Amino acid sequence: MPIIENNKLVEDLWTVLEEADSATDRSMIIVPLARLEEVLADWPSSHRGLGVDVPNDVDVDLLTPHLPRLDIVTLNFPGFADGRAFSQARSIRHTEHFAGTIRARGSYLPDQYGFLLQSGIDSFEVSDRFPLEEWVRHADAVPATYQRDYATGGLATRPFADAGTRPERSHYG
Amino acid sequence: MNMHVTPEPNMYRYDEFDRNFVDARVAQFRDQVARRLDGSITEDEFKPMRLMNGLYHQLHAYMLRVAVPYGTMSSRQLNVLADIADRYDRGYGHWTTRQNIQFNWIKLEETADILDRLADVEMHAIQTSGNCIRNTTTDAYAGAAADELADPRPVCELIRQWSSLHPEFSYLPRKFKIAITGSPNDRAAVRVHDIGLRMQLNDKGERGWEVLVGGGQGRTPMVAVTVRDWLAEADLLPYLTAIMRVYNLIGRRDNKYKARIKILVHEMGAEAFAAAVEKEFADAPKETVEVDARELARISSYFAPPAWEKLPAFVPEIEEKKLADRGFRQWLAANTAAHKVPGYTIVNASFKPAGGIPGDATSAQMRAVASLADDYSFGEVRVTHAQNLTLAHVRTRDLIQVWEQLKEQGLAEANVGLIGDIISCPGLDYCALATARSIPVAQEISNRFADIKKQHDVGPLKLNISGCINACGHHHVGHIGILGVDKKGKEFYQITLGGSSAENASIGKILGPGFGSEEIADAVETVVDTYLNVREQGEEFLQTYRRLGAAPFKEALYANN
Amino acid sequence: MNDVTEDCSEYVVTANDVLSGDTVFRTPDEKWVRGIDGAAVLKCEDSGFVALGEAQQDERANIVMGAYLVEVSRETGAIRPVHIRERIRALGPTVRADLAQVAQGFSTSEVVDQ
Repeated sequence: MPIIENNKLVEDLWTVLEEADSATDRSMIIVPLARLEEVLADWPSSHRGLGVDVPNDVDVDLLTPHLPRLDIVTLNFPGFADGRAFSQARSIRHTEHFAGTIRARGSYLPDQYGFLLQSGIDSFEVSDRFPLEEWVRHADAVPATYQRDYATGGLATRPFADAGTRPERSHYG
Repeated sequence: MNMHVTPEPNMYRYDEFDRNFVDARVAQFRDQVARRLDGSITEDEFKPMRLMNGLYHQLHAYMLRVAVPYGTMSSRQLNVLADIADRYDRGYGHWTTRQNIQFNWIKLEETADILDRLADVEMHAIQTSGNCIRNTTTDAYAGAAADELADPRPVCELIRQWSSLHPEFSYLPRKFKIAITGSPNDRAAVRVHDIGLRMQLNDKGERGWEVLVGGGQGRTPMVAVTVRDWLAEADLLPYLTAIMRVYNLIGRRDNKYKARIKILVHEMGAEAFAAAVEKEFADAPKETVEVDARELARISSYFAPPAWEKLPAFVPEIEEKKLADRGFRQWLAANTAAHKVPGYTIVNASFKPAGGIPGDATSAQMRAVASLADDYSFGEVRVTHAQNLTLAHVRTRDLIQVWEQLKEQGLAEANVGLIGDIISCPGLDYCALATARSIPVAQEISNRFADIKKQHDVGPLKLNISGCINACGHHHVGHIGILGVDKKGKEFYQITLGGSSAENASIGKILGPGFGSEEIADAVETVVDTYLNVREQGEEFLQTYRRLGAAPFKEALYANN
Repeated sequence: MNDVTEDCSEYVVTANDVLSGDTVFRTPDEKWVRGIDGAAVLKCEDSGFVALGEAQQDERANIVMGAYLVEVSRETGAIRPVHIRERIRALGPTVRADLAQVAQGFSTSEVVDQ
């Protein structure tokens, strides 16, 4: 499936490992969360190229000790209205300071692209249904945010005003 | 009046940033509508998008719910609502229990134009529906009430901005409602909200908040529990963020009726829930705390007290009129409240005429109240939780003129807080979810009690009616609650007694078998007559019920069956 | 239950116009009208479902949304939904006789007194 990163279509360098596949002697693999500890046990500490796929109903605190050894975390949207992965992404990116890639998978819509980016997701597995331009144009459909600490990609935040001063008042319209 | 002056009320005003934000949201909505119509997105995909911008589809048409943030609006804004009612609807709107207004006959193709018109006067419909954080509600008397610690509206505005298009919290398990009170006397129903905040002052005079979580109505009514007795004001947004994150991650999504935060709190237990929030709160970086404080200071400067005059508290003409005119006396007793400044009075315009539709307002009434606000209340109007409007700062000496003008508009029914001041959802006459009509029941009951003297004899009594189990008419917290149900194609009404949304909140209990639509008003009269027979001197309905329980009411209603 | 055709219920196909949101009914010539009196009455559920299937093409074309079958009765001469919810939906709010379909010749009491 197409992958969008930095508002561009990019090649998918990662392979999602199935349940039974062996992880030995491989790299650039994404393993199911259930297999992470088993794979990590045999994974040389100097070795990069490991990622994990996280269901949206698990506590991402479980990942915390392993994050320094991971290059990618994939999060899941079983339906576009199921917003759990927004908070998972935010926790991993903001609370745990994960610097690797966070990829969204599953059902979500271009209208959600801006929120996904702001929550800390930076890679998107998408279907062919919407062209790249449709995603890109939604990145800043509302080009401003009240949440300063979520602002990404040049979104406007309110300029600081000195406390106690109130901006020029004007009549409506 | 020879010259009409529109004062600028002291309330939040948009700066360029806010303006660009709302304009962009309107443009985004316009684009979403276009893509719905050209088939790029399906109705199933469009529906949550339109809901998040306040657009429902109801029984007859689209319905647009416009936000009146924390219930405060300017007369200019109210006049634009009147214009929208005339131009895009059928000449009226409906005040909601969450201090908003909804229009019942909206066309999809005109909605973006309406939103543009609203944006002209710094209004919007953002997050008035959908599984996101809704309009933060508060005391309609904020900034005016004699009993408040401080005006809670700056904090409401801080929360409005923090929650607007929140990237992390726009796809929650279910809708999310926050209510705030700055007064120990709760006029904002904070104990039946997802989050309730009660302002506190500590020994040093610093402001903090008691945080309550997990209240709500609907199918499983619950009174909120306190998760923090004291939260320093600086920590408010980080703490709210922690609550929202815990809820977003582990709130139930398998069953829409078990998805509200109250179920999560109930199933986890309040202590375990509070512990999860405290852990999240402790773990998350708090780099915005200082910014929040600066923002709050900036916002607060807009809510400076209006230019109150130094006036005598005692106004002889008013006292004389009170003695001479029973109608005026009744109106003063029911429809006004004590103001914090001598010589001022809080005035309610009752949208509950006997036999009327509770909370419906014609465009003419909207314009009349806007004009009264300009002339007598610093150009500012409030929407109340009970579906009325409030003029918060009327000079006591102007009360007679204000009363006369409200009377002309049919807005001076002296029944605020009495049995005629019925909270009612739109019910089956408008609502796609309803199972029975609620408005006709409200009309019949208010007609039965059309004699204002009788209402005053009965005293404070909140009667709330919902047309289905979702409880938008707040029947669970009515002193008398009525729930309409469908029984084999017939409307049936259950009575609950003993609910309250005030500081002593409680959920009403079902009295017994329901009543048909032709019996329900009689049953309510029987309940009220029973109360009159058994009450002690000075005892209000709720007190009598709490003293005696349901027994005398059951006896009176069901003994002969 | 019996198999006698004359005894089975009658239905109309209803939906909402996407642009206006209005309640609309499927006509005999496969168009949509606002008044229920213009609706095609379908004998028995089977023929109802056939008509509903055809109507759903207009959902896919984004002309209407949420098409479904409504059981009706013609006992009073006019086509009227059997259930109160559908009567109100077809004829308008009972509390505003001046509005909606009711203004077009229906009486408010007709909505509920059946």
